[in-house]
Amino acid sequence: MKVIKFLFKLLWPVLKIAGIAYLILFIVFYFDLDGKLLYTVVEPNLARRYDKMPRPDNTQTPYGKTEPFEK
Amino acid sequence: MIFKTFEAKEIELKPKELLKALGQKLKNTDYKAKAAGIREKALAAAEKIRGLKDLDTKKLASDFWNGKPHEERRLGDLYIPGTGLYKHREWRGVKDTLYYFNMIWLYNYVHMVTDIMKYGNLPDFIKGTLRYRWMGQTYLTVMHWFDRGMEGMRGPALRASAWHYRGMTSETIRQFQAMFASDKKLHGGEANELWKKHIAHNETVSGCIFYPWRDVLDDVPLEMIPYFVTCHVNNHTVLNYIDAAQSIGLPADPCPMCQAEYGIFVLDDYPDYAPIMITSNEACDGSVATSVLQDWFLNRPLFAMPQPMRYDDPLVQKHCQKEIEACWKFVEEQMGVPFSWDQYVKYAESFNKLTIFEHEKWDVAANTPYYPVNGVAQALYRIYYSQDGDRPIWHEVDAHVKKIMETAIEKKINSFPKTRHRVIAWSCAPLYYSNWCTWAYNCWGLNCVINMDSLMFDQMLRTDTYEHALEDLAWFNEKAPMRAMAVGGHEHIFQLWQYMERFHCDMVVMYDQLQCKGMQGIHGMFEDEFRKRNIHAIWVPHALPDKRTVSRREIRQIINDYMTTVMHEEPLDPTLVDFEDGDSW
Repeated sequence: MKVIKFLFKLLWPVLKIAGIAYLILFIVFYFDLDGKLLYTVVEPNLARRYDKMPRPDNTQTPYGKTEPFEK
Repeated sequence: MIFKTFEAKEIELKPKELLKALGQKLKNTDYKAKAAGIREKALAAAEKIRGLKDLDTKKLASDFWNGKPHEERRLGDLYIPGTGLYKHREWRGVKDTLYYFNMIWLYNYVHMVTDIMKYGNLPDFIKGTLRYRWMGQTYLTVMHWFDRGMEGMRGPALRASAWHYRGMTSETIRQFQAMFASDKKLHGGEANELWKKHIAHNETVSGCIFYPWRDVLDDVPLEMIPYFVTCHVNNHTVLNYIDAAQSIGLPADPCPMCQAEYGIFVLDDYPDYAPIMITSNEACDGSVATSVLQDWFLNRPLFAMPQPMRYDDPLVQKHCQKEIEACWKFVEEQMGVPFSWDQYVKYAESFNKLTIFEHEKWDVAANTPYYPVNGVAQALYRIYYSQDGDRPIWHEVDAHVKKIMETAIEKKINSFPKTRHRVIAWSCAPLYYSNWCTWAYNCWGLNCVINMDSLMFDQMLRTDTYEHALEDLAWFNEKAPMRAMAVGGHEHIFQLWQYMERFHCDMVVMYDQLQCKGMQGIHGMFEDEFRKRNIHAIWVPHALPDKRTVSRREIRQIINDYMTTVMHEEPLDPTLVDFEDGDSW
């Protein structure tokens, strides 16, 4: 009995945290908070990063016969 | 940092800009109208409270426990207009909501992280996300792709369709992690050992071609993730590549798939993960141009392996087999790894098991109402795995789906009880609206049982002799998507009638890819045949990945018009008839 009580005392905070985390995740899921964050913040900022990224001009690549790579 | 509103306006998150935006809003607000609105809402709420007395608590409890009946769901009310986001996700009853939350949403988010570790490492993933638009803009929105495909699904349909999506997500992670691990651009321009063990190939070159090296080399299709997957998951991404292709003076009228595939190179948004490249002319001459441009931009040994168009000609078979053998020789010479017959046999036989199960699925779909896979899951999963070739994840998914399907048959569970018409979808689908069939079932009871792309690659691979193996592989190669039944001759395109009969379909959704010259050429003949055979056919115009030509809303309107003016039917869910989702993923 003592062991069970000890285990319960030990596990109870873990279970409490897990339960709260589960509830928060369910709220995120149900109200589509993940989608809303991605749409309003993550995607526009990532898109801006890609828009500003310097890119080489690939049309300057010479067109000719290519040799096998060195193994 | 910027913030995007639900009206698709981008606001700079700087104090000055924010105050300016706030000031403008305060200045432009019609306070009288706002007060009237609040009053109206308060009155409506009071009315609702008064109505609570007449509430049917039994019905309320049943709706909570089982979910609302199909006609009362009002799924269209859940959307935030324009965005495709949900005010809240759908309540499907306790069991299915918890299944969706635990086994789809949570399970897949967790596995999206564990798969990254399993198939590569976190630093490469972060570097890839920050470097490639097709990666960052797409990968994070995956769960919304699940949402769109699974809307309204219940029971076995929800479970089996989600397993198909899970398989595709996992294989996508495997592919991009393989690319990132060996990508010169992410590793200071240096070729590492993994780079030397990769084969890059066009997404329309079948993975089966590379079975003889599967244990020692890894073949990864170059455009499968950067182009094909992005169109389905987040269709904003691909528009950059189409525009880039046209920005260097290339014509705008070829197939936009080909344009997007070389646009990736124009924008230098391709990972450099392999020393050689195998390309194809599939699906059409537009792809030949892609090969030429890739040959230029990649600047490395490249083998073009064309697939014949009119492939019934027996003389063509020998030619096609020689092309495959030449490709094998090219790989041997370039990579210095000999062809392995044993490896070919091992993977071809394993792949045959997937084909056998696919036939089982078709049998259930054709002859019973108990098929638990929805139209979009069926179409995307089949085209993905048959193009990709044998991988462990497909067997894992099939085992789950088999179990679900057998239970549905045993317990006689009809996953699509509101089916009014059994639909076959023909020709190439709009990639930016592959989930139209989920909408069509929820709104009109149109159950898309099978589609053309699912019926491709219908070929067992014999492994008893080298000659038989080569013969079957050549046939397999010729029965590729968009090849056999789109540009493979009218006798194959017209196989539609046999498949309609086989799958007991009474309606056709006929995709009309506006920039596909092959299918445009046979449009009139189809119209004649539909009239002659008295078949209900809805033409759905689209521009494959480009949502700007025909929007999703316009596609819905075309189907709505047909269902009301020709079929004289009423929608099952009127809130889904018309809604704006122009800026959604």
